[in-house]
Amino acid sequence: MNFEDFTKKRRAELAKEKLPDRFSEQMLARIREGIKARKKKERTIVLKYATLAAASVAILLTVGLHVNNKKVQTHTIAEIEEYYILIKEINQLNSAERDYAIREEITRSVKNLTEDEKLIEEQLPEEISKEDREKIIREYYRQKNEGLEKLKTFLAENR
Amino acid sequence: MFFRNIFATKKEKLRHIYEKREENLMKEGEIEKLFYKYGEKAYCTAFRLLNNESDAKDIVQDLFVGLYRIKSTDGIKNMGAYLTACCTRKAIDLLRKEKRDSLFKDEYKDPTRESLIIDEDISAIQEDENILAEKIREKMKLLPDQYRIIVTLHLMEDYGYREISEMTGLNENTVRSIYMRGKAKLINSIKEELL
Repeated sequence: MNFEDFTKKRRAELAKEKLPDRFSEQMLARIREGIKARKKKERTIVLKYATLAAASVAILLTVGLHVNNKKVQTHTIAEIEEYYILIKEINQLNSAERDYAIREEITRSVKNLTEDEKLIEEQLPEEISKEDREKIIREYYRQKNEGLEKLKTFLAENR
Repeated sequence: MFFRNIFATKKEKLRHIYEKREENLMKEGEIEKLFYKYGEKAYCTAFRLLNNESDAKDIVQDLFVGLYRIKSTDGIKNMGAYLTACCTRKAIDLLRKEKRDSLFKDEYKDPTRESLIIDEDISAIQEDENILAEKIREKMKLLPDQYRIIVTLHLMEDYGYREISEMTGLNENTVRSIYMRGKAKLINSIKEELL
C-alpha cells in the first residue's frame, strides 16, 4: 500500500498523541485562570478609559470655570470701567463747551490725568499676590476717577 | 459634590454596559463543554507541530481562553474544524515567534541528501499495520523540525501546499520540495529499522 494512502487510512490512530497526566484537570484549571485574568485585564482597561474620560471632562470643566472666573474678575474692577466712562463723558461735555480757554484747560487736565507711559497693570512686579495687585489697581483708578469726577462736575455746572 | 455625582453616574452606566456585554459573551461552562469535546484533539494537533508538551499546553489554554471573547458559536458550522484550524495557526505563530522562526525562512539543508526516488509501497515493509502505524508515529517525531511540520500539516492536517505556503510564508514549490524530502526521509528511516 502507498505511504500516503496508508496514513490516510490510519489517520485517526496516527493523530493520537499520549496525553500528559491529569491533562483535563490541569487544562481546565489553566483555562479558568486564563479567563479570570482576561476578565480582570478587560475591566482594568475599561476602568482606565473611564478614568481618562472622566479626567478629561474634569479638566475641561476646570479650564472652563477658570476662563469664566477670569472674565468675572476683570469685570469686577469697576474702577477701570468707571474711568473710561468718565473720560467719555468729559469729552462729550467738553466738546459742547463754548469757552475755548476752558475747553483747552479741560483737555490738558484730562491728558495729565490719563496719559501714563505704562499702564499700572504692567508696572506692578510679578511677585505681588493676586489680591494685592487688584487692591493697588483699584486704588490707583479710584484716585484718577476722583480727579475726573471733579472735571466732569465743573463742566456740567458750567453749561 | 458635582464631580462626585458625575463620576457616580458614569460608573453606573459603565457597569451596566459591561454587564450587558458580559451576558452576550460565551459562558465559562460552555467553554468547558467545548474543551471536553475538542480539548484532546487540539492538544494533539499542537503537540504534533511543536513537539513540546509545555508549548502545546500553552496553545490549548490560549485557544479556549480566546473563546471567551466569542459572542456566539452559532455562526461556526464545524466547531471541531474551526478549533483545529485556530490551533494550527497559533502553533505556527508560536514557531515563528520563537527561535524556530528560521524554520520558515529557508529550506532545510539535509546533509544526508535523501533520494526522492523511493518505493512508496510500505505494506511490503511490515505486514502488521499496527506496528507500521506505530513506527510512522515514532519516526515522524524524529524528523528535523521543518520536515516534521510540513509533513504533519500536509499528511495529518490535510492542508494543501498553497495553504501551507500562506501559513508559513514559504514558497509553494519549496513547501512541495520539503514535503517530498521529509516523506522520503520518513519512509527510509522506517525501512532501515523494519527491514
